[in-house]
Amino acid sequence: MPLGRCEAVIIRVRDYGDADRFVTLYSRERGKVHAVARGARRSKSRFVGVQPFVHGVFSLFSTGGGGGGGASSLSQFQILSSFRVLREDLDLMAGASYVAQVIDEITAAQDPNEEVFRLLLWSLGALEKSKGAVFDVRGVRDGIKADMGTLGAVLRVFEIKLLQYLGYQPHLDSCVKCGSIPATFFHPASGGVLCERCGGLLGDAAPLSPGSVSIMKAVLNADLAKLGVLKMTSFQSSELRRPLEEYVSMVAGRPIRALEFLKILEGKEGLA
Amino acid sequence: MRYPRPILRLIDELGKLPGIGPKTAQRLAFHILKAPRADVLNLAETLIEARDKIRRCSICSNLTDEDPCAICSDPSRNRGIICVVEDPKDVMVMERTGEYNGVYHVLGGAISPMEGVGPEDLRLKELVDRVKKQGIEEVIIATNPDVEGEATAMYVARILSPFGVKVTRLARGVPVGGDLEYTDEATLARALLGRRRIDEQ
Repeated sequence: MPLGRCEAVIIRVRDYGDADRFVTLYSRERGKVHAVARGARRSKSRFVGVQPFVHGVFSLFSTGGGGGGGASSLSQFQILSSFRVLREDLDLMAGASYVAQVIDEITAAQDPNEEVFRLLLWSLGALEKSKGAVFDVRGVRDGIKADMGTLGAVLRVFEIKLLQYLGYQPHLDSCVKCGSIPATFFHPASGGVLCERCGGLLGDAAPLSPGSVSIMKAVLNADLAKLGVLKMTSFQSSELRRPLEEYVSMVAGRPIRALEFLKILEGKEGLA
Repeated sequence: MRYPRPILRLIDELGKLPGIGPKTAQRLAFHILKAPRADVLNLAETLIEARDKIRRCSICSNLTDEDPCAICSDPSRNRGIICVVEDPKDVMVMERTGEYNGVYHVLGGAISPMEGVGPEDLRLKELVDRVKKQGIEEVIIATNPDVEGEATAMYVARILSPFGVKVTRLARGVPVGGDLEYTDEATLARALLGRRRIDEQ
Protein backbone atom coordinates (compact mmCIF):
# COMPACT_ATOMS: atom_id res chain seq x y z
CA MET A 1 0.00 0.00 0.00
CA PRO A 2 1.57 3.32 -1.00
CA LEU A 3 2.26 5.69 1.87
CA GLY A 4 3.01 8.65 -0.33
CA ARG A 5 6.00 10.87 -0.81
CA CYS A 6 7.95 12.91 1.66
CA GLU A 7 10.86 15.31 1.57
CA ALA A 8 13.47 14.06 3.98
CA VAL A 9 17.10 13.78 5.01
CA ILE A 10 18.65 10.37 5.70
CA ILE A 11 19.88 10.49 9.29
CA ARG A 12 20.89 6.88 9.80
CA VAL A 13 21.66 3.87 7.63
CA ARG A 14 22.21 0.37 8.95
CA ASP A 15 22.85 -2.93 7.22
CA TYR A 16 19.80 -5.13 7.31
CA GLY A 17 19.46 -8.74 6.19
CA ASP A 18 21.68 -9.95 3.36
CA ALA A 19 21.66 -7.02 0.98
CA ASP A 20 19.19 -4.50 2.39
CA ARG A 21 19.64 -1.30 4.30
CA PHE A 22 17.49 -0.03 7.13
CA VAL A 23 17.12 3.71 6.72
CA THR A 24 16.00 6.36 9.20
CA LEU A 25 14.64 9.51 7.57
CA TYR A 26 13.77 12.84 9.11
CA SER A 27 11.02 14.20 6.92
CA ARG A 28 9.34 17.56 6.64
CA GLU A 29 5.86 16.06 6.49
CA ARG A 30 6.05 13.18 8.97
CA GLY A 31 9.05 13.69 11.19
CA LYS A 32 11.20 10.64 11.81
CA VAL A 33 10.27 7.58 9.76
CA HIS A 34 11.96 4.24 9.15
CA ALA A 35 12.10 2.38 5.86
CA VAL A 36 13.87 -0.58 4.32
CA ALA A 37 15.80 -0.02 1.09
CA ARG A 38 15.66 -3.47 -0.47
CA GLY A 39 18.83 -4.62 -2.19
CA ALA A 40 20.60 -1.33 -1.42
CA ARG A 41 23.95 -3.03 -0.79
CA ARG A 42 24.12 -4.58 -4.24
CA SER A 43 26.32 -2.53 -6.52
CA LYS A 44 23.70 -2.33 -9.25
CA SER A 45 20.87 -1.35 -6.95
CA ARG A 46 18.98 1.86 -7.69
CA PHE A 47 19.32 2.52 -3.97
CA VAL A 48 23.14 2.73 -3.88
CA GLY A 49 22.71 6.47 -3.35
CA VAL A 50 20.95 5.80 -0.05
CA GLN A 51 23.67 7.23 2.17
CA PRO A 52 23.59 9.30 5.34
CA PHE A 53 22.98 13.06 4.96
CA VAL A 54 21.34 12.77 1.53
CA HIS A 55 18.41 15.16 1.15
CA GLY A 56 15.73 14.03 -1.27
CA VAL A 57 12.16 13.12 -2.06
CA PHE A 58 11.32 9.60 -0.94
CA SER A 59 8.35 7.42 -1.91
CA LEU A 60 7.41 4.83 0.68
CA PHE A 61 5.02 1.93 0.63
CA SER A 62 3.84 -0.39 3.34
CA THR A 63 4.57 -4.09 3.00
CA GLY A 64 2.97 -5.07 6.28
CA GLY A 65 -0.04 -7.38 6.02
CA GLY A 66 -2.46 -4.86 7.52
CA GLY A 67 -2.36 -3.34 10.96
CA GLY A 68 0.64 -1.22 10.02
CA GLY A 69 2.97 -3.60 11.83
CA GLY A 70 5.40 -4.18 8.95
CA ALA A 71 8.21 -1.73 8.25
CA SER A 72 7.65 0.40 5.17
CA SER A 73 9.85 0.01 2.13
CA LEU A 74 11.48 2.60 -0.03
CA SER A 75 10.11 2.43 -3.55
CA GLN A 76 11.77 5.43 -5.18
CA PHE A 77 13.90 8.36 -4.33
CA GLN A 78 15.21 11.43 -5.98
CA ILE A 79 18.17 13.38 -4.63
CA LEU A 80 17.66 17.11 -4.03
CA SER A 81 21.10 17.67 -2.53
CA SER A 82 23.56 14.88 -1.86
CA PHE A 83 25.82 16.75 0.65
CA ARG A 84 28.64 14.70 -0.83
CA VAL A 85 31.36 16.78 0.83
CA LEU A 86 30.07 15.68 4.24
CA ARG A 87 30.90 12.08 3.40
CA GLU A 88 34.26 12.81 1.82
CA ASP A 89 35.87 14.91 4.54
CA LEU A 90 36.65 13.16 7.80
CA ASP A 91 36.03 16.11 10.15
CA LEU A 92 32.83 17.19 8.43
CA MET A 93 31.60 13.59 8.40
CA ALA A 94 32.14 13.46 12.16
CA GLY A 95 30.27 16.76 12.64
CA ALA A 96 27.38 15.74 10.38
CA SER A 97 27.14 12.38 12.16
CA TYR A 98 26.72 14.24 15.43
CA VAL A 99 23.93 16.42 13.97
CA ALA A 100 22.14 13.40 12.48
CA GLN A 101 22.47 11.30 15.60
CA VAL A 102 21.19 14.06 17.88
CA ILE A 103 18.08 14.42 15.69
CA ASP A 104 17.63 10.65 15.67
CA GLU A 105 17.97 10.29 19.44
CA ILE A 106 16.00 13.37 20.45
CA THR A 107 12.93 13.13 18.22
CA ALA A 108 10.10 10.61 18.43
CA ALA A 109 8.89 8.76 15.33
CA GLN A 110 6.05 10.29 13.30
CA ASP A 111 6.21 13.61 15.11
CA PRO A 112 6.80 16.26 12.44
CA ASN A 113 8.47 19.56 13.27
CA GLU A 114 9.05 21.88 10.33
CA GLU A 115 11.56 24.01 12.25
CA VAL A 116 13.68 20.99 13.22
CA PHE A 117 13.64 19.85 9.60
CA ARG A 118 14.78 23.29 8.40
CA LEU A 119 17.47 23.34 11.10
CA LEU A 120 18.76 19.95 9.98
CA LEU A 121 19.05 21.17 6.39
CA TRP A 122 20.65 24.43 7.51
CA SER A 123 23.21 22.61 9.65
CA LEU A 124 24.27 20.20 6.91
CA GLY A 125 24.48 23.10 4.44
CA ALA A 126 26.54 25.20 6.86
CA LEU A 127 28.89 22.28 7.51
CA GLU A 128 29.30 21.75 3.79
CA LYS A 129 30.14 25.43 3.28
CA SER A 130 32.71 25.31 6.07
CA LYS A 131 34.86 23.00 3.94
CA GLY A 132 38.07 24.81 3.28
CA ALA A 133 37.30 27.52 5.84
CA VAL A 134 40.01 27.80 8.45
CA PHE A 135 38.61 26.37 11.60
CA ASP A 136 39.97 25.23 14.86
CA VAL A 137 37.77 22.49 16.24
CA ARG A 138 39.40 22.66 19.63
CA GLY A 139 38.64 26.36 19.79
CA VAL A 140 41.63 26.90 22.03
CA ARG A 141 42.99 29.92 20.23
CA ASP A 142 41.42 32.59 22.35
CA GLY A 143 40.00 35.62 20.64
CA ILE A 144 40.65 34.57 17.07
CA LYS A 145 37.65 35.48 14.98
CA ALA A 146 36.16 32.42 13.47
CA ASP A 147 33.16 33.10 11.29
CA MET A 148 29.95 31.08 11.10
CA GLY A 149 31.52 28.70 8.64
CA THR A 150 33.51 26.94 11.31
CA LEU A 151 32.60 23.43 12.36
CA GLY A 152 32.39 24.10 16.09
CA ALA A 153 30.28 27.22 15.65
CA VAL A 154 27.86 25.41 13.35
CA LEU A 155 27.40 22.65 15.93
CA ARG A 156 26.82 25.21 18.72
CA VAL A 157 24.17 27.02 16.67
CA PHE A 158 22.57 23.67 15.85
CA GLU A 159 22.37 22.78 19.54
CA ILE A 160 20.99 26.16 20.65
CA LYS A 161 18.33 26.30 17.92
CA LEU A 162 17.34 22.65 18.43
CA LEU A 163 16.81 23.18 22.17
CA GLN A 164 14.74 26.24 21.33
CA TYR A 165 12.56 24.47 18.73
CA LEU A 166 11.92 21.52 21.02
CA GLY A 167 10.85 23.71 23.92
CA TYR A 168 14.02 23.53 26.00
CA GLN A 169 15.22 27.07 25.34
CA PRO A 170 17.74 27.93 28.07
CA HIS A 171 16.79 30.80 30.39
CA LEU A 172 19.49 33.46 29.94
CA ASP A 173 18.19 36.75 31.40
CA SER A 174 18.88 36.16 35.08
CA CYS A 175 19.90 33.45 37.53
CA VAL A 176 17.41 30.58 37.30
CA LYS A 177 17.52 30.03 41.06
CA CYS A 178 17.51 33.51 42.62
CA GLY A 179 16.82 35.89 39.74
CA SER A 180 19.89 38.03 40.30
CA ILE A 181 22.21 39.36 37.61
CA PRO A 182 24.81 39.06 36.21
CA ALA A 183 24.85 35.37 35.47
CA THR A 184 28.29 33.80 35.30
CA PHE A 185 27.53 30.10 35.07
CA PHE A 186 25.60 27.84 32.69
CA HIS A 187 23.91 24.83 34.22
CA PRO A 188 22.03 22.51 31.82
CA ALA A 189 20.24 20.59 34.59
CA SER A 190 18.74 23.86 35.85
CA GLY A 191 17.73 24.87 32.32
CA GLY A 192 19.74 28.08 32.11
CA VAL A 193 22.24 30.43 33.67
CA LEU A 194 23.18 30.91 37.33
CA CYS A 195 24.72 33.81 39.26
CA GLU A 196 28.15 33.71 40.88
CA ARG A 197 26.76 32.53 44.23
CA CYS A 198 24.24 29.89 43.06
CA GLY A 199 26.59 28.56 40.37
CA GLY A 200 29.49 28.40 42.79
CA LEU A 201 27.50 26.14 45.10
CA LEU A 202 27.13 23.55 42.34
CA GLY A 203 30.14 21.56 41.30
CA ASP A 204 29.05 20.95 37.71
CA ALA A 205 28.05 24.43 36.51
CA ALA A 206 30.18 25.69 33.58
CA PRO A 207 31.68 29.18 33.77
CA LEU A 208 30.20 31.51 31.19
CA SER A 209 31.50 34.85 29.91
CA PRO A 210 29.14 37.76 29.08
CA GLY A 211 30.08 37.41 25.41
CA SER A 212 28.88 33.80 25.33
CA VAL A 213 25.57 34.77 26.93
CA SER A 214 24.99 37.43 24.28
CA ILE A 215 25.95 35.13 21.42
CA MET A 216 23.44 32.55 22.70
CA LYS A 217 20.76 35.24 22.91
CA ALA A 218 21.62 36.42 19.42
CA VAL A 219 21.35 32.89 18.05
CA LEU A 220 18.02 32.36 19.83
CA ASN A 221 16.59 35.58 18.40
CA ALA A 222 17.96 35.16 14.90
CA ASP A 223 16.16 33.67 11.97
CA LEU A 224 17.98 30.67 10.46
CA ALA A 225 18.27 32.41 7.12
CA LYS A 226 20.12 35.33 8.73
CA LEU A 227 22.46 33.27 10.90
CA GLY A 228 25.27 33.48 8.39
CA VAL A 229 26.14 37.01 9.48
CA LEU A 230 26.57 36.19 13.18
CA LYS A 231 30.11 35.98 14.51
CA MET A 232 31.11 33.50 17.19
CA THR A 233 34.66 33.52 18.51
CA SER A 234 36.40 30.21 19.02
CA PHE A 235 36.60 31.10 22.71
CA GLN A 236 32.79 31.40 22.91
CA SER A 237 32.34 28.25 20.84
CA SER A 238 34.59 26.25 23.16
CA GLU A 239 33.12 27.74 26.32
CA LEU A 240 29.60 26.83 25.22
CA ARG A 241 30.61 23.42 23.99
CA ARG A 242 30.56 21.29 27.12
CA PRO A 243 27.34 22.67 28.66
CA LEU A 244 25.47 22.55 25.34
CA GLU A 245 26.59 19.00 24.61
CA GLU A 246 25.51 18.04 28.10
CA TYR A 247 22.19 19.82 27.68
CA VAL A 248 21.49 18.00 24.40
CA SER A 249 22.45 14.59 25.84
CA MET A 250 20.25 15.32 28.84
CA VAL A 251 17.22 16.09 26.66
CA ALA A 252 17.99 13.05 24.47
CA GLY A 253 18.14 10.94 27.62
CA ARG A 254 21.47 9.35 26.75
CA PRO A 255 24.98 10.23 25.58
CA ILE A 256 25.41 10.84 21.85
CA ARG A 257 27.88 8.26 20.59
CA ALA A 258 29.02 10.29 17.59
CA LEU A 259 30.67 12.75 19.98
CA GLU A 260 33.37 10.21 20.76
CA PHE A 261 34.72 10.22 17.23
CA LEU A 262 34.76 14.04 17.08
CA LYS A 263 36.86 14.01 20.21
CA ILE A 264 39.25 11.40 18.79
CA LEU A 265 39.80 13.55 15.68
CA GLU A 266 40.50 16.64 17.75
CA GLY A 267 42.87 14.82 20.08
CA LYS A 268 45.81 13.00 18.70
CA GLU A 269 45.82 12.76 14.95
CA GLY A 270 46.61 9.08 14.96
CA LEU A 271 47.66 6.01 16.81
CA ALA A 272 51.22 6.17 15.63
CA MET B 1 0.94 -28.77 23.35
CA ARG B 2 4.61 -27.79 23.13
CA TYR B 3 7.55 -29.48 21.47
CA PRO B 4 9.72 -31.73 23.66
CA ARG B 5 12.61 -29.84 25.23
CA PRO B 6 15.44 -31.09 22.94
CA ILE B 7 13.51 -29.93 19.85
CA LEU B 8 12.73 -26.57 21.43
CA ARG B 9 16.38 -26.10 22.27
CA LEU B 10 17.45 -27.01 18.74
CA ILE B 11 14.96 -24.52 17.26
CA ASP B 12 16.17 -21.92 19.72
CA GLU B 13 19.85 -22.38 18.87
CA LEU B 14 19.25 -22.38 15.11
CA GLY B 15 17.16 -19.24 15.48
CA LYS B 16 20.22 -17.39 16.78
CA LEU B 17 21.90 -17.65 13.35
CA PRO B 18 21.76 -14.58 11.11
CA GLY B 19 18.84 -14.47 8.70
CA ILE B 20 17.09 -17.40 10.40
CA GLY B 21 13.62 -16.59 11.75
CA PRO B 22 11.48 -18.85 13.95
CA LYS B 23 9.79 -20.57 10.97
CA THR B 24 13.07 -21.33 9.19
CA ALA B 25 14.61 -22.51 12.47
CA GLN B 26 11.72 -24.92 12.90
CA ARG B 27 12.09 -26.23 9.35
CA LEU B 28 15.85 -26.75 9.78
CA ALA B 29 15.30 -28.49 13.12
CA PHE B 30 12.90 -30.99 11.59
CA HIS B 31 15.24 -31.56 8.69
CA ILE B 32 18.02 -32.41 11.16
CA LEU B 33 15.72 -34.79 13.07
CA LYS B 34 14.88 -36.65 9.87
CA ALA B 35 18.46 -36.85 8.57
CA PRO B 36 20.63 -39.97 9.08
CA ARG B 37 22.61 -39.96 12.32
CA ALA B 38 25.94 -39.97 10.41
CA ASP B 39 25.03 -36.75 8.59
CA VAL B 40 24.07 -35.02 11.82
CA LEU B 41 27.27 -36.17 13.51
CA ASN B 42 29.26 -34.89 10.55
CA LEU B 43 27.57 -31.49 10.80
CA ALA B 44 28.23 -31.27 14.53
CA GLU B 45 31.89 -32.19 14.10
CA THR B 46 32.32 -29.72 11.25
CA LEU B 47 30.95 -26.93 13.43
CA ILE B 48 33.35 -27.74 16.26
CA GLU B 49 36.30 -28.18 13.92
CA ALA B 50 35.74 -24.84 12.20
CA ARG B 51 35.30 -23.09 15.52
CA ASP B 52 38.43 -24.63 17.07
CA LYS B 53 40.86 -24.59 14.17
CA ILE B 54 40.18 -21.18 12.67
CA ARG B 55 42.05 -18.25 14.16
CA ARG B 56 43.44 -14.92 13.04
CA CYS B 57 46.69 -14.69 11.11
CA SER B 58 49.23 -12.92 13.32
CA ILE B 59 50.35 -10.77 10.37
CA CYS B 60 47.24 -9.81 8.41
CA SER B 61 44.43 -10.81 10.82
CA ASN B 62 42.67 -12.83 8.13
CA LEU B 63 40.96 -16.04 9.22
CA THR B 64 43.23 -19.05 8.81
CA ASP B 65 43.88 -22.58 10.05
CA GLU B 66 47.67 -22.10 10.04
CA ASP B 67 49.67 -19.12 11.21
CA PRO B 68 50.84 -17.18 9.23
CA CYS B 69 48.05 -17.65 6.69
CA ALA B 70 48.50 -19.09 3.21
CA ILE B 71 48.72 -15.65 1.61
CA CYS B 72 51.22 -14.18 4.08
CA SER B 73 53.50 -17.24 3.81
CA ASP B 74 53.35 -17.48 0.00
CA PRO B 75 56.82 -16.47 -1.34
CA SER B 76 55.41 -15.48 -4.74
CA ARG B 77 53.32 -12.71 -3.16
CA ASN B 78 54.55 -9.12 -3.30
CA ARG B 79 54.94 -8.12 0.36
CA GLY B 80 55.58 -4.49 -0.53
CA ILE B 81 51.89 -3.91 -1.25
CA ILE B 82 49.20 -4.20 1.42
CA CYS B 83 45.53 -4.18 0.54
CA VAL B 84 43.45 -3.00 3.52
CA VAL B 85 39.97 -4.53 3.78
CA GLU B 86 37.21 -4.42 6.39
CA ASP B 87 36.36 -8.08 6.59
CA PRO B 88 37.84 -11.56 5.89
CA LYS B 89 35.09 -12.02 3.28
CA ASP B 90 36.53 -9.06 1.36
CA VAL B 91 39.86 -10.90 1.04
CA MET B 92 38.08 -13.71 -0.79
CA VAL B 93 36.31 -11.22 -3.05
CA MET B 94 39.62 -9.54 -3.94
CA GLU B 95 41.27 -12.92 -4.52
CA ARG B 96 38.53 -13.94 -6.94
CA THR B 97 39.42 -11.04 -9.25
CA GLY B 98 42.76 -12.81 -9.87
CA GLU B 99 44.33 -9.37 -10.41
CA TYR B 100 46.03 -8.84 -7.09
CA ASN B 101 49.34 -10.32 -6.00
CA GLY B 102 50.12 -8.36 -2.85
CA VAL B 103 49.24 -9.16 0.76
CA TYR B 104 46.30 -8.07 2.90
CA HIS B 105 45.41 -6.43 6.17
CA VAL B 106 42.00 -7.14 7.68
CA LEU B 107 40.74 -4.31 9.91
CA GLY B 108 37.79 -6.18 11.37
CA GLY B 109 35.19 -3.50 10.60
CA ALA B 110 34.90 0.17 9.71
CA ILE B 111 34.75 3.37 11.70
CA SER B 112 31.14 4.28 12.43
CA PRO B 113 30.66 7.30 14.70
CA MET B 114 26.91 6.71 14.97
CA GLU B 115 27.23 3.05 15.93
CA GLY B 116 30.04 3.82 18.37
CA VAL B 117 32.77 1.99 16.41
CA GLY B 118 35.94 4.02 16.79
CA PRO B 119 39.51 3.63 15.47
CA GLU B 120 40.54 1.81 18.65
CA ASP B 121 38.07 -0.99 17.79
CA LEU B 122 39.91 -1.79 14.54
CA ARG B 123 43.31 -3.41 13.93
CA LEU B 124 44.88 -0.12 12.93
CA LYS B 125 47.84 -0.16 15.25
CA GLU B 126 48.92 -3.47 13.70
CA LEU B 127 48.73 -1.86 10.25
CA VAL B 128 50.86 1.09 11.37
CA ASP B 129 53.41 -1.36 12.83
CA ARG B 130 53.60 -3.27 9.57
CA VAL B 131 54.13 -0.09 7.55
CA LYS B 132 56.78 1.13 10.01
CA LYS B 133 58.75 -2.09 10.09
CA GLN B 134 58.44 -3.79 6.74
CA GLY B 135 59.33 -1.18 4.13
CA ILE B 136 55.93 -1.13 2.46
CA GLU B 137 55.71 0.71 -0.91
CA GLU B 138 51.97 0.99 -1.27
CA VAL B 139 48.86 0.63 0.86
CA ILE B 140 45.69 0.10 -1.16
CA ILE B 141 42.59 0.95 0.84
CA ALA B 142 39.74 -1.31 -0.24
CA THR B 143 37.15 -0.50 2.42
CA ASN B 144 33.52 -0.32 1.28
CA PRO B 145 32.53 2.81 -0.67
CA ASP B 146 29.94 3.77 1.96
CA VAL B 147 30.22 6.45 4.64
CA GLU B 148 31.88 4.18 7.18
CA GLY B 149 34.31 2.80 4.62
CA GLU B 150 35.18 6.30 3.37
CA ALA B 151 35.71 7.56 6.90
CA THR B 152 37.96 4.59 7.60
CA ALA B 153 39.91 5.19 4.39
CA MET B 154 40.45 8.86 5.24
CA TYR B 155 41.46 7.98 8.77
CA VAL B 156 43.96 5.33 7.60
CA ALA B 157 45.45 7.80 5.11
CA ARG B 158 45.76 10.35 7.90
CA ILE B 159 47.57 8.08 10.34
CA LEU B 160 49.88 6.70 7.62
CA SER B 161 50.86 10.11 6.25
CA PRO B 162 53.93 10.52 8.53
CA PHE B 163 55.55 7.41 7.03
CA GLY B 164 55.72 8.59 3.43
CA VAL B 165 54.12 5.42 2.11
CA LYS B 166 52.00 5.65 -1.06
CA VAL B 167 48.36 5.32 0.02
CA THR B 168 45.81 4.61 -2.71
CA ARG B 169 42.06 4.02 -2.76
CA LEU B 170 40.09 1.66 -5.00
CA ALA B 171 38.51 3.62 -7.87
CA ARG B 172 34.82 4.34 -7.65
CA GLY B 173 32.64 4.41 -10.69
CA VAL B 174 29.86 2.99 -12.77
CA PRO B 175 29.36 -0.76 -12.14
CA VAL B 176 30.07 -3.10 -15.05
CA GLY B 177 26.76 -4.05 -16.65
CA GLY B 178 24.92 -1.30 -14.77
CA ASP B 179 22.53 1.32 -16.02
CA LEU B 180 23.58 4.97 -16.15
CA GLU B 181 20.03 6.09 -15.41
CA TYR B 182 20.13 4.40 -12.00
CA THR B 183 23.64 5.53 -11.13
CA ASP B 184 23.54 8.07 -8.32
CA GLU B 185 25.13 11.45 -8.87
CA ALA B 186 27.92 10.88 -6.33
CA THR B 187 29.11 7.73 -8.11
CA LEU B 188 28.77 9.36 -11.51
CA ALA B 189 30.74 12.40 -10.34
CA ARG B 190 33.52 10.10 -9.10
CA ALA B 191 33.45 8.13 -12.33
CA LEU B 192 33.80 11.34 -14.28
CA LEU B 193 36.75 12.48 -12.15
CA GLY B 194 38.46 9.11 -12.48
CA ARG B 195 37.85 8.68 -16.23
CA ARG B 196 40.57 6.95 -18.25
CA ARG B 197 41.71 7.11 -21.86
CA ILE B 198 40.17 4.19 -23.70
CA ASP B 199 43.57 2.98 -24.99
CA GLU B 200 44.90 2.78 -21.39
CA GLN B 201 42.26 0.38 -20.17
